[in-house]
Amino acid sequence: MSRFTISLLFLLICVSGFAQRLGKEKDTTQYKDRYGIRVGLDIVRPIYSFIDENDKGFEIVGDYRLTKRFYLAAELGYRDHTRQEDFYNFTTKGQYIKAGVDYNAYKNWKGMENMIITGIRYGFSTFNTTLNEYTINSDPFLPERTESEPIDYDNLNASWAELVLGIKVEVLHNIFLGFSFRGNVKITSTEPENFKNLYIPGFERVYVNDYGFSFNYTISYLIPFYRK
Amino acid sequence: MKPWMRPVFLMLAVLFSLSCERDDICIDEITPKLIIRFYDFENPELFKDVANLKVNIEGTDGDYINETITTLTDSIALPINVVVNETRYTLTLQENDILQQEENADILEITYTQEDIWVSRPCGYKAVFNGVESRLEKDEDNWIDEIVPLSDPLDITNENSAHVKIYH
Repeated sequence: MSRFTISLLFLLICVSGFAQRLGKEKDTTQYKDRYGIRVGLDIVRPIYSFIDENDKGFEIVGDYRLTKRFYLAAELGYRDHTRQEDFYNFTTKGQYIKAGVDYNAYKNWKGMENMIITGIRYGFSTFNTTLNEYTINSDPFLPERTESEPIDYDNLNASWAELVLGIKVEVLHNIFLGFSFRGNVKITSTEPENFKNLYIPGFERVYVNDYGFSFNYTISYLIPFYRK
Repeated sequence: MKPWMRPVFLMLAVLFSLSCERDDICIDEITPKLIIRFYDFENPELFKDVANLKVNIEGTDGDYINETITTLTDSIALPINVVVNETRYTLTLQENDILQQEENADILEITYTQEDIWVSRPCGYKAVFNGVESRLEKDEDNWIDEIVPLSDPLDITNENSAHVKIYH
């Protein structure tokens, strides 16, 4: 009887040791990061387009994971924006592309792929602007003159550099919600004659010293290619 | 501080240092006014003040300038009509005696062509006036003796200096 007990113990030890080794191997495969392409779109722009006819547009976003922390990233979009200022109003329509690199500054727990993004972009936009009407800014004592014949300025373009600060969180398997805030600095632009580029698609409002700000809320889907 | 926070803070610092300069208040020069300087007819080198001047612009109600008795001035700035290419001013001098009040109205007319020029986001467009011609309407008792433009041809593009001299 004692001999049987001893041999059973030996067997159990062996089995448990084998099982542990199995478990370890399984763990290492599970925690490999997923690499792939992530595509998505801005979820706020379509809502804006629906409620405000002066601000239409859409944006698609994408990134491709290069290394553990670096991603190639790009945005592609279209804007149709009308703005009423004190003495004039204008419409700018055009498309833009932004391309650059995202750096994930967040150290994830094993198996998670959330991001705190710091990134840079180069942005380029081609657009047309129409000065819909303007009123001469003159002494209010005298009657004012308004020119309501629209003036078109076509084939304008601009380029700029962008700093990105944002987050991306995996809310469901392979589905990410993101938010990013961008600070822009204009590099070049073709200015219309006797007018100015006050709005550039993708750059948004051009402030007095050629700075701008923009943001986006995105939902995107990860298509994994491989694990590493 | 955790290592991942460093680039985030750096980025925040950069973004906040890009200060937002407020640019929706119009502080640039808009459509210029006609600046008139008054000189002494007998002594053309000297400024001569006018007292109690009243200015009416054709096509508008009320006086543009209705100075009180105490003010003396040797220059005035008058708005120029941007709807049409001529503006008529009635400059009325009220000569106050203790015994009686006398009014003398002279009519000054200017004609010009206009050009619309972009200024800035808050200001929009201004008009400038080219080829300005000034003319004094003669009547039996003009208090204005002569109107002389300061340059020929006269373009009114800013308010940095006087545009016409009035001798009286």
